[in-house]
Amino acid sequence: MIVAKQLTKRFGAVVAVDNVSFEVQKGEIVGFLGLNGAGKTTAMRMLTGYLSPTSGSAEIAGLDVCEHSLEVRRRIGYLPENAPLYPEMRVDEYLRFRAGLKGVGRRRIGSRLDQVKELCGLQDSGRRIIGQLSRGYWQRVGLADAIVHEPEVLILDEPTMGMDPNQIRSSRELIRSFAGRYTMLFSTHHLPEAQAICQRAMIINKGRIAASGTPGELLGLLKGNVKVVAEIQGPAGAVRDMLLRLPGALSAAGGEDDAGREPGWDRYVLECGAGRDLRADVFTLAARNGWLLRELRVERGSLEDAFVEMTAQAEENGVS
Amino acid sequence: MRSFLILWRRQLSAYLTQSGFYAMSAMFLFVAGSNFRALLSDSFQTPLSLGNLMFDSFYLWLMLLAVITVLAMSLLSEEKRLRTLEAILTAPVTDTSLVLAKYAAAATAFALMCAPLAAYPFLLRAFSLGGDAPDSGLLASGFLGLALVGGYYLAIGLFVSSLTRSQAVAAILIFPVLCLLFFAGVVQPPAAGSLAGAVLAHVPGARHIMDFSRGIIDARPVFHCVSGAAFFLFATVKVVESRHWK
Repeated sequence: MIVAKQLTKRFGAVVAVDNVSFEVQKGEIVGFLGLNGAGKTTAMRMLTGYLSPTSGSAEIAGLDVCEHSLEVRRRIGYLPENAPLYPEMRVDEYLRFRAGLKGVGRRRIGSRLDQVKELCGLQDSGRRIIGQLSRGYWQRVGLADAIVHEPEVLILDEPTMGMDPNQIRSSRELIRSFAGRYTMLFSTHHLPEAQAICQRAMIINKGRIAASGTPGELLGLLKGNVKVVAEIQGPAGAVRDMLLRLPGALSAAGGEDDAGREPGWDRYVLECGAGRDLRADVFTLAARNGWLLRELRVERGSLEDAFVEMTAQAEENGVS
Repeated sequence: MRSFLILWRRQLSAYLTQSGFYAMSAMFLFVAGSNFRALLSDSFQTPLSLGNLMFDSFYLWLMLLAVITVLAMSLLSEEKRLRTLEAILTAPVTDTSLVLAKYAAAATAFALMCAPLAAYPFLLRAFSLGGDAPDSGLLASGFLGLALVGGYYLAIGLFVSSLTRSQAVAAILIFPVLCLLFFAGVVQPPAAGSLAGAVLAHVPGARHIMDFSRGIIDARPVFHCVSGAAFFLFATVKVVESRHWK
């Protein structure tokens, strides 16, 4: 549905987007992850036809975004960064204006407005003045605007920026509810968001795609070792020694009586080589020695770790 | 065409929902009206033609330039500041129809502001004892001059407002430029004698408004206004398009 081929945008000497190629299949939800200034917004602006690429090309629904710009724009619902709206207009008035501009038939505007307002939780806000809305509602108006003409493709630039945690949660649910109905590309620098919403994520750094895959795959790319956390009641020194002797164990820490913890219980962190999971071994070990075990889990890296690692890697490669 | 109408209506309602628009109109009508009254009492000694009464006055001109500045300054600069330009131009709207809709809305607002002036001759006739009906040809010629120069200057203002994201900066640029162009024909322009001065003196302005108000319709200022407006509209479209190649 969305195809970018060696998309490049230069502003003078600055390369904002550098040779980026990717595809988004119909119905897929893809996250664009990157720090501020990584090139996410510029890439999206090229996809929506607002900016022309310096070189390379992009297609939406099989149409070139430069040659068939108007036709492409009819098929895209775009929420620009910060959701620019006219603060002096009322919600209904604004959505009506936008729907007309995007070619929604005059007779259908009314019913379409009701639909998108219900979808975005704006049923009771139609008469409100946009400038007086809270940040979360402001963003919802932007989302309602993006879907008002029933586009095939949704491109959302940082849809949860500037929201408080409750607003983030509700708009995340809203965006997730769009799944299946639209092909969606959204950008964020908030990693749990990508983890929560998207089926696939691309990490973009300094205008290049550093990695791409499902959130799980991206986590798999982490080089780091697996950490097993266990809470065990037993002789501290002996437990640590035995844990360390498990095949594949690299290091074992803990066992000191942490202040504030329940007496008798110790928390151990066992580091094992990549791809190894020693939980079963820890359990057998505890069972065999008659220790009590009440917690046993693998500490997973978050996408945040993957992200920091990959952007740092790219940095090193850039320097060398 | 539909997007042009929608954008035109949006801009016009943006003008009409601003209290500033009404304050400006009131100020304009106050100056124009008191000016007309003052000229009228003068004309007891030295008779003036209706065209002179209505259109030949320094204060009216100054107000006209101020009105054009205020109407034009926010047209595109405000869209840039609010970043709504991106929202508009990622909808299926061409750059040209956006620019033309903005221009048409400003011209409509300008016409709305000037429209009450047309009542003056009828008021005069209603309150005078007999006399001839106002010369409608003369009036039409005067209004044509106003429309042509106003349309030209609005296009210049629109162009300037496309260059900046601050309406204050736009206003600070537009007003002096328009004053310079407008008065160059009647006051010695700064570069008098040089080629630039000669060119300036030919830009339609006060001198041509005076001609039109006397019923003199010269093809040259007509052509200059229309082609000038077209040029600045074209230049504005190019500025909006320049985001692609910057």
